[in-house]
Amino acid sequence: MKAVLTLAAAFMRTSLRERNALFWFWLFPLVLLGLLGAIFGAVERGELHVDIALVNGDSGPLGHELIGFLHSVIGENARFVYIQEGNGEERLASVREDVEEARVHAALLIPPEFSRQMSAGIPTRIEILYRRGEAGSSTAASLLAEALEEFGRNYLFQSGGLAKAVEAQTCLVGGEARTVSYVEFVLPGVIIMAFFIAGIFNVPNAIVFAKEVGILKRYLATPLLSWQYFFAFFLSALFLSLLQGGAVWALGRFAFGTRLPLLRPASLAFLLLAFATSVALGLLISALAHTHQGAMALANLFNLPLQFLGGLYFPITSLPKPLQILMAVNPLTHLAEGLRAALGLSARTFPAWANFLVPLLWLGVSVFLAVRRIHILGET
Amino acid sequence: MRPFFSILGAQYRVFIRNPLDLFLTVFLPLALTLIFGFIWGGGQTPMRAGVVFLAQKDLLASVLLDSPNLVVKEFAETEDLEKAVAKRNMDFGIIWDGTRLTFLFNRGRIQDNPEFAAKAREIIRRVELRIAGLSPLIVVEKTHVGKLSAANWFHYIVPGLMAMALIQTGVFAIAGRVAGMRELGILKPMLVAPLSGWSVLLGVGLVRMSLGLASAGLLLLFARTVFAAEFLVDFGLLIFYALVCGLGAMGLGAVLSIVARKPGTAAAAGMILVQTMLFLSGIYIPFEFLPAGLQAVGQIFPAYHMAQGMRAALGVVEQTPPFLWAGLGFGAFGFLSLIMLGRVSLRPE
Repeated sequence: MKAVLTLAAAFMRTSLRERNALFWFWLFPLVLLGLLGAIFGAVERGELHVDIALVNGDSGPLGHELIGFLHSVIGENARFVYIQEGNGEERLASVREDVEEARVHAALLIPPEFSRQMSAGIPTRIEILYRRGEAGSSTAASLLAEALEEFGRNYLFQSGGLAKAVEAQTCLVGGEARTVSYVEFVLPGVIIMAFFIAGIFNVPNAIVFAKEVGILKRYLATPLLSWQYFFAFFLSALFLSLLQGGAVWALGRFAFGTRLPLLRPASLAFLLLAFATSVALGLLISALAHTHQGAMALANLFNLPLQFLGGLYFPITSLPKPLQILMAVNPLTHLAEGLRAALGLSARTFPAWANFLVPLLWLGVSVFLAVRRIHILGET
Repeated sequence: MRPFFSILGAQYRVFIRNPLDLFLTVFLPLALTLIFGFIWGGGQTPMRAGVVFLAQKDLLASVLLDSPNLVVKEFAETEDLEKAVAKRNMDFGIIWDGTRLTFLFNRGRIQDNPEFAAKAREIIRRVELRIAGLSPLIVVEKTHVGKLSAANWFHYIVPGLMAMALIQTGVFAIAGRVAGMRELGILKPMLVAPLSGWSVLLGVGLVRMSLGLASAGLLLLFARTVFAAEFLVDFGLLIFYALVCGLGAMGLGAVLSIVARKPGTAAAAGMILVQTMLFLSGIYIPFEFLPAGLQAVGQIFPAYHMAQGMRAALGVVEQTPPFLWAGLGFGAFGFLSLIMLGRVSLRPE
């Protein structure tokens, strides 16, 4: 056991000295969580800032009333870069150019007859200029469109056209009865990503490299057994993963105020499964690759596609059939879904047994192939 | 000239035989385009609403039928609807009892729910109008004034990925390949041979940049053929931005290999820089979604300006003087950095 612990400590030291591993395994998950938390946390709180131009061609009172309403309803998210009175051709062309050239995200053109038509109960057409596809511009256009419809609704209530509002309520389903923030949703995904990256990069990095330069052979000259070598490797990886998982959890807890019950038995089971599957995938890559470069290429082949198709950072819906199949056989899909369900963040879209079985199958097949193909002497 | 062409040939063979470089330069951008294309390339997908009608079915059904961008499925039981929403078979649920609308949202769909909630508010307004027998007083007409007639988020991602493919290739040509050659001891014998240092640097740079260009071109072709994404390509601008991207990125690589003297550190620093740019320059995540502080940081990075330049070259956004100046500035930075630091980055130690 002493030999195993000594070797495990040596593996840990090597891993901590490796610059690439330090970045990808230690720094990147923390930075990613921080970035995603800062970005989507702000979006979630409605702290999105878009620039809007208003052109009021209406000489009546409702044009100004509408502008005041827009300020009160979307003023927190929108900055009204300028408000122009009148709608001459030149003015409209200049506003259009401002939207085209991205000086503003969207422009609202209030027509000349706005007050008169509204008062007469005639439906009024209001134009919003925007750039379809660009996130900020589309958001600005949606904010304006909804605010305009709400203004029309309020006007009808005031003028007596609408007598009674329809009662409405909202219910959240799936997961436990509490509000989930984006950081709480993404944090399990980031922990799984950290385990996954450590497994598919660090394991082949250590094993294939050691094989390639003949370090593994030298172990044969010592009384160390093959299983002791791999067990020590597994132990060091487990310890580092525990530390990393803890660091990500701590960042979520103290920087973003997340409350995730990671110590629940079901959560722990999925974390352990995620760790073991990631290490097994690393062993599979080590078994399939003949060279260190080949191993890194294979690891990259798995890396981003599996992460994006695994729904680690956002829930994926509406994919075409081939990608749905890929998603269903992707171990990360099940690990993320299983862990989130265990934490009470959302309901499963696959059966619970599939969340366990698919990663277990990957784990079993990978270990089987690795045992058959990785030889301590170096030839595969 | 002959030794220079020998280096070109040798570097090309080195690249082709290195599966990692080949994967990162050519296949990874293609794989990302494929994934993003399937997720965002198909245009607007209609929302799926499940409905339980407990009373006055005709009224709500007619409202939902007229609602744009909505596909409706009727459920007999509330429990079935809840399950369908929880399992994401439906985007959101509606229960209508004749006087009250109850909307069901999936707790886990944090990023989608605001859009579904906006749709729910639209449905409430339309039901009120339908009950009163009125039409909306304000008819909103959204007019797209961007250059492309069929622009969606995928049109913004493709030029961004092209710019990043070029920047990544350029940075790693110097901070990765040249530093790697130094680490492996290949640089020393090359420099004592009758070769100028510039031949070595240009040999490595040209091969890598031509492969980066090929990768960016392949990406564009792929987006056009597989996802039928139409671009209004201005070839002059495209070549300009591709060249300044490559040149500037090689300059960045040279700076990195000076700042981080050890070869491994230079490559790791290059990786950190590239990853940071991917997240903060509007490549993966829309720039407008970044908080103001991160937007300010993002605008410091050349990737933001190069991605915008590429978008202008592909007709996604208007070409404006600031993009052009940023491109020229980045190219000039690369050229000057290579002139001043190229010799230092070739030091064999």
